[in-house]
Amino acid sequence: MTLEQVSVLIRQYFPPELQTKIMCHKDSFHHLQEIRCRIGQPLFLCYAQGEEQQAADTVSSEQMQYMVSRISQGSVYAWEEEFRRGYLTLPGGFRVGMTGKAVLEGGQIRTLTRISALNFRIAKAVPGVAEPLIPLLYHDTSIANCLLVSPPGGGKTTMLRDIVRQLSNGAAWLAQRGRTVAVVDERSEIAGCIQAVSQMDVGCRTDVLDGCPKSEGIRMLIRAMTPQVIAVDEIGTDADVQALEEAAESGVSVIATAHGDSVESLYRHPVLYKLIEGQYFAFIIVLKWQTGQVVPQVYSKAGGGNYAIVRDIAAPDSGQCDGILQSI
Amino acid sequence: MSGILLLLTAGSAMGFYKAYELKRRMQEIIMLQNAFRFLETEIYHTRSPVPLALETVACGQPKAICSFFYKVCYAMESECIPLYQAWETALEQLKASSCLREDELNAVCSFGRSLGVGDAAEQLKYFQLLQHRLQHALEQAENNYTQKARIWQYIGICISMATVLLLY
Repeated sequence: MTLEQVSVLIRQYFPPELQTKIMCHKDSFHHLQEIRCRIGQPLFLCYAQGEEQQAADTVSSEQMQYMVSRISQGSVYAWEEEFRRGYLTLPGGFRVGMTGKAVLEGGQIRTLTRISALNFRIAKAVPGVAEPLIPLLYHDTSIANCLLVSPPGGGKTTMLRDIVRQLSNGAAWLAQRGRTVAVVDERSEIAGCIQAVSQMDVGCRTDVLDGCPKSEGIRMLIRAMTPQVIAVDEIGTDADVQALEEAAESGVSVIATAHGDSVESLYRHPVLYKLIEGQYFAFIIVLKWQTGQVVPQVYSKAGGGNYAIVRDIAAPDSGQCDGILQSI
Repeated sequence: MSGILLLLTAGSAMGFYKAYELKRRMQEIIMLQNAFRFLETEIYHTRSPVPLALETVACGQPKAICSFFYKVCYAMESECIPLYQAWETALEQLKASSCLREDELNAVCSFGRSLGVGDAAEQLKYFQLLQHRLQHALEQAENNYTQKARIWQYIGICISMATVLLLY
């Protein structure tokens, strides 16, 4: 994420008095993950691993109204579905989460009103971050099923996005052609679609189904778009698991993410344990933060329903990838 | 002789111009009503964001309204200011270049504070309230024209004749 891109975001959506205060911290924008605004509370700039800086003493209700007007283009009615879901995607793929007063209709949330807090999540496309993992995924003519695991904010969506991009565009350095990839982007985080147009680079052979529940989306894509790979974010329900099993029966490879901090935590998950014990995924990749960067730990099937860690992530030319693939 | 004619023409023209302003005010209120009916349709049925809706509706409107809508749209998109600020700034410029008065300008101003806030059903109510206020302003303008247009014309002629008599 460049300084220029973050500066444009701040200039477009923040009132002038807050712009000045936020821009004082521009030296740290390349690590910026979130900008949190709450009425009557300080404005915080949030970085990786829980670090944060206070950029302004307080956010007034007029300033909040300003920001809501700017992010919605003065047209809350045009974003009813987004306000109902509690987030909105801005040009560039930035996502703004919001809280306020929920308006209910028939026991369901109809919309949010009197917005009291905004969370600007800085879109982070890191092209090439998945490059060490790509050789693992190619298996003969197909792609190995893979699960990315990390706690919230751990980088799994960023990693998934780059995997999708690289599979879609192909890997000339591995003599692999591009694959038809379909993405079920339920919360518009992977492709960051606005009006169904992707704001992030997800590859030239990627079809994005935006805002659709994962289970239904997977079925729709298998029927309509004949994908070779399906990518989904944050699986965790019975419906998700069922849809993934149907995808496997259809011969479609799956790249998915899930919340967790280890393979062991997946065994304890009330729903996902079925996929783990059934060894649905050829690889489980746990993303850990070490010395300020994400380090993937790769686990492959070890028989008996278990997964075992393989050696450290192989560089593309190290030859270790071939050994891993042969052991499957 | 030519001076007398000039004075008579100038005085009468001033009176006729004041009468014309009263008539123009009625016409401009009707233009506003039509423009906001189109905007209501654009917003309620297509759910277009305000800048896009304004740009779409502006095309078929008379010059003053077209300019007002474009200024709001431009201010929001190029100058990155919120809708209500752009609306008030553009309205000031409309006020300076039109014969609209406080009643209808206040109605449009307060509508601008409500525009885009809330869902589509609420937008519909704000549009209905605006039309109601504009209709009230139009009726007032029509009464004003009926009662005062002829008077202003006569005043213009009388003042010019009085000026001629005084000078000559």
